[in-house]
Amino acid sequence: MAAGLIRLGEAAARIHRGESDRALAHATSGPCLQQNLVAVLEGDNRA
Amino acid sequence: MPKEPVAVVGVGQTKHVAARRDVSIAGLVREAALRALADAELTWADVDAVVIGKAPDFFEGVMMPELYLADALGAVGKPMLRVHTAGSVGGSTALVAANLVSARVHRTVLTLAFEKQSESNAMWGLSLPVPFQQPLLAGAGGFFAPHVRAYMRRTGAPDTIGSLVAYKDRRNALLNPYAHLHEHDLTLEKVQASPMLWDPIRYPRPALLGRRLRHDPHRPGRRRPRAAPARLVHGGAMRSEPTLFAGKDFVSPRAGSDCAADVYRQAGITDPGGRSTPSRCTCRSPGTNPCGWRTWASPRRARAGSSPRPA
Repeated sequence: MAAGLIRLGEAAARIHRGESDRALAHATSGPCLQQNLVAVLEGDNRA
Repeated sequence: MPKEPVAVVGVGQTKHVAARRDVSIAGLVREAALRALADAELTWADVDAVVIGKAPDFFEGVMMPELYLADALGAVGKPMLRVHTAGSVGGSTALVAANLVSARVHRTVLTLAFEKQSESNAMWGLSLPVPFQQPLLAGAGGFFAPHVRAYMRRTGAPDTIGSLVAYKDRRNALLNPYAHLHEHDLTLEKVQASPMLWDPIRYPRPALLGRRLRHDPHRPGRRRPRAAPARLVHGGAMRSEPTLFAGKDFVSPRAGSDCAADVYRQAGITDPGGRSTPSRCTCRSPGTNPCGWRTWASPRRARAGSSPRPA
């Protein structure tokens, strides 16, 4: 049910860990009518 | 770098009837796919990718049907993309498939859309029961009927137009052996006398549901498998509008005219309403949320009144 959302979380985690400054996350589809979500996540170094 | 030309090389559809109890959904889509492959004189092995479109899964209640249908469509181990733009998905699926070919991501794409209304409830499937609240509209017709009335008032369109389109559709259906209805003795008067559902939409409606068309966009220049010429796709576009926003024109949404203008521009058609332009433009009806317009242009003999005119 949340397998796609987990992809967004993993992309965000990479940014949090400092491994990426900008990441693309793609969640394909889901049984609750989720469909092809593409998100670009970016880190912000403000304290 | 210029885009790769895209052509439709095969089309297949299932026999449309009120209920196909002889096949499952998988059987239904495979039947149409086999006909499209036969029409294109290709085999399953020639297909590089499959693009499948489906309106809301709640209609048939089979969630994420693309996963279930990969076997039936020879897509196991191949790229498969499911398109979901609600009511507009038939057209948007074809657009996605054409874009994959024009971008040279794939060379031969099997693209399809399906609906199995005998196992679904298209009218109420998305109407979630809300307690203590009477439903204000019933189905897509209920949603659009006020917009249709307002459009007719604004443009002065004659109130016979809908009946004329419905009659024209059913006359054309006589030319398609797979069509649901072959009403040989239908007259315009009979259509106009039919029961009213949502004023001004009557029982024989202009739009036919349950389309299961499939086609293979294919790059020309490759081995041409058949004698009949492939139909080149000269343009395609989709536009969406949010269902509600300040300044939205519900009656003639700007997305529709923007979309049509884009397609004509792609196809190099500068005078879409003129008689000298050999073109055919198909505008599909939008889904309820979000609205979408898909417009194609392909060179065909012009038919009077076939071009959309913005209000």
